[in-house]
Amino acid sequence: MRLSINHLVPLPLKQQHNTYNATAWEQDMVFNQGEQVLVQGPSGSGKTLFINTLYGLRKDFAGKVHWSAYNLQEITPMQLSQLRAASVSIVFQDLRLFPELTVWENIDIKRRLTDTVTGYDAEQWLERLGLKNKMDMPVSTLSAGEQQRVAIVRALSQPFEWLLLDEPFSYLDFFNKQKAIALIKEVAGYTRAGIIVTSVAMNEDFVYDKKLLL
Amino acid sequence: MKQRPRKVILRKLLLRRRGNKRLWPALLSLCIGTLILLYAIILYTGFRDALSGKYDKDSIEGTYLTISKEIDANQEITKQKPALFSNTEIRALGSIPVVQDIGMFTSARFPVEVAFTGDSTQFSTRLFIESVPDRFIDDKPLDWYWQYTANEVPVIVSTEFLNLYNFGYAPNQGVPQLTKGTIQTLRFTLKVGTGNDAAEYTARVAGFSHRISSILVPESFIEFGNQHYAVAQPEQQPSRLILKVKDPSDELLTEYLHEAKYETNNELLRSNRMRTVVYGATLGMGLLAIVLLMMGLSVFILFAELTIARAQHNLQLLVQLGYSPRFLSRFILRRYVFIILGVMIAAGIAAIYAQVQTAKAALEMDLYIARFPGWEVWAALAAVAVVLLVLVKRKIDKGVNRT
Repeated sequence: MRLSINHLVPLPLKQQHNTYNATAWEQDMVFNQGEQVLVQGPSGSGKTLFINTLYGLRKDFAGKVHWSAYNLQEITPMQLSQLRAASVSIVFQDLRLFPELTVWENIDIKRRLTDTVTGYDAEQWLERLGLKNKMDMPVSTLSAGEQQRVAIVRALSQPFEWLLLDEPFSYLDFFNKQKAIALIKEVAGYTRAGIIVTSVAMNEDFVYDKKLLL
Repeated sequence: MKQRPRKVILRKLLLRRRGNKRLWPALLSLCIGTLILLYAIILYTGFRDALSGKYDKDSIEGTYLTISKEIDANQEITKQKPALFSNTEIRALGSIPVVQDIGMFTSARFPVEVAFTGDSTQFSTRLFIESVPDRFIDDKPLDWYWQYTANEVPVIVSTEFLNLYNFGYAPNQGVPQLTKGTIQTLRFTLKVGTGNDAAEYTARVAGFSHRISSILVPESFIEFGNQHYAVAQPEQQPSRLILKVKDPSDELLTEYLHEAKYETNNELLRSNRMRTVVYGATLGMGLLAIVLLMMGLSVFILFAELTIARAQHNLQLLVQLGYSPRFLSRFILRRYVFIILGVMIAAGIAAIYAQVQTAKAALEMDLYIARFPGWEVWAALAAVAVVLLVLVKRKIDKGVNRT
């Protein structure tokens, strides 16, 4: 699947447009399958806005966003849900877990959407990120770092051609971050999925094909 | 690790049980409202069927009218020919829309005398006998037939006559009262004709009629008697007719009977008054039921809205994760389908019970109505269920699509 943006400008940023030297807005860009893209910018520069727009959560923008042939401003809710379930996965910056569910239920609710990732694999991934012994605990009792790792495993528990990561390691210490990066690379590598990562700082967490500044 | 089916996790996210106490009054109100509505229909259709003679065993006698011509004083004094119905008049009656069938009373044109000789009682009296087509007889006995070779003649007597005897004659004369069963065991001597043409038969009471105020014998006996024992009288037109009518209180019919100066049994008025009362009562019940249903429905819809509002955040997140709004709508709707079906089944069972009890109570008053609810009741039940489902589905769709 190819993601493309044409002259994209989110309406909330339109009036500030001239003050920006961003390389992402009002450009024509194509992200080909398997590419790894870094979207870097300081806090408040619109990284989450960019990811949310790309994921189809916001429609208040000028220009166009396409997932292959699907124009996100014209796509039906049914088509969008099918693509989200099978082709595009995300780790939200604010994680968006279900606090009333356990760790495993948070993973399972995503995994059962398509049933393509086995329960055994998901369990192994939780173990690799150090959460095996917390699977039956309500996710609300976990620390922010632990919740971020749950969100990462949840995003991996579906088939995807693109993985959108919105500051995915912000709460993680160095060792846990390395484990998470290794896991993401491994799972994304199975299907040669593309990755778009936002970050406040330049980094070499992945081998980036493109770097966008906001 | 607890493995739970996906629907259990979804239920946990979308259909939290907190606040379900508010659901019970709504369900109770819906159930009672539906039941009252169904009961109003049961009463309405039951009475309507009794009036139209659907089960052909009515005892209101509203659906079978015996009519005769009014005898005026002049006719009485001048001894003109009796008030008989001409063929034109019979045809005119037949053309009234609510008149479904017309039967003619055929009178015996020969002398009839009945005699009884018991251990301590003897009596003999002249009387009249008539016949009507078999289809007009209520509770027709199984052995209601006569062949010219037979010596025994079955007779149907009006229950009014038995009542006159038991509650008038017997106490007055100090003779024992008789049950229907006792009378049916007795045998009478029936003398017909005069002089050399006279014949004797054995008569027995084969049954009693609520509907026809007369002494009836099978049509074949009257025909045979009129051919063989008639004194010199020409074939006569009937003086009484029995009408089967769809609705005896029909305005056109009552007006016609009044204008033509025909007399009828006063049961017509009784059923007419009853109809007004029953229809008024069922209308009141129906309105009450609709008010109750609306109240229950409002609370029920409010409950559905509240459930969706409470789950709004989770619904939104599920859609963001890839669940389709249609799937989530159906998932939530399924719960309400079960609840609504439960309420409808409870109301349906209660309606069946109510119908059976009503039929029993009606039977005690000699009214025959169906023992099982008719299609109108099931149609109303289905209509209430469909309206409920459509309204709830619209609310759910609206709530889910807000995501």
